[in-house]
Amino acid sequence: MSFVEVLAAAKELTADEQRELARELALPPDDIPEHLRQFIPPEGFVAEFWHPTTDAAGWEAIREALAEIQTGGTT
Amino acid sequence: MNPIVFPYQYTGPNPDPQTLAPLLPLRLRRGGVTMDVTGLVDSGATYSILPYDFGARFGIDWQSLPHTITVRGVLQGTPAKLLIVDGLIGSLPPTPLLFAWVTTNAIPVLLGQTNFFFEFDVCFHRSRSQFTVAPRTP
Repeated sequence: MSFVEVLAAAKELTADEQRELARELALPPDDIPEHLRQFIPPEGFVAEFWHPTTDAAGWEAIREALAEIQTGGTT
Repeated sequence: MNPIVFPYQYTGPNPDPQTLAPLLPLRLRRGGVTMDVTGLVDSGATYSILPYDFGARFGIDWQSLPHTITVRGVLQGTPAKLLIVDGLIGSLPPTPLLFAWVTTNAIPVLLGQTNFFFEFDVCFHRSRSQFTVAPRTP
């Protein structure tokens, strides 16, 4: 259930009122497919960059997991 | 094997060319569970990311996985477990993909250097709004 649907359920809003609420909250319109919604950048931005990385201990764990792939492991 | 061509897709509510991104549809499989996802092919990500709800659909206990890492960058210290799943792209053979399965959904599926770019040769053709993916060359 989406955030708007939760709010709508709590407030017993009509469909039109739900759309108005989504617009006020600057949430994506319903016509954007669900699998694409995760990529919508924050309001006011045209893109978002995440740049995940990790520390030395994390890299050691990644190296171990990669080694498991080579041996057919399933971490 | 010929590369597979994928179109860039809009990531915003309007067809604004600035929001076009290399989004890759792929199937993830582990055990008897498969799911279709869309991932951002992100050469700026040092490893791949799987949001919490996506990983949970495999029915795995997050705590049971042995390798824990701390995600730095925009997630600022979020813990993650390393998870290996098979990735299926079009007709290409299944490939083991390593993900950092994070405890948040505030990030999309990212396909990063480790190990997506280890396994696949990716060419971006932004001027044509398309990218290609092929198995790595030996």
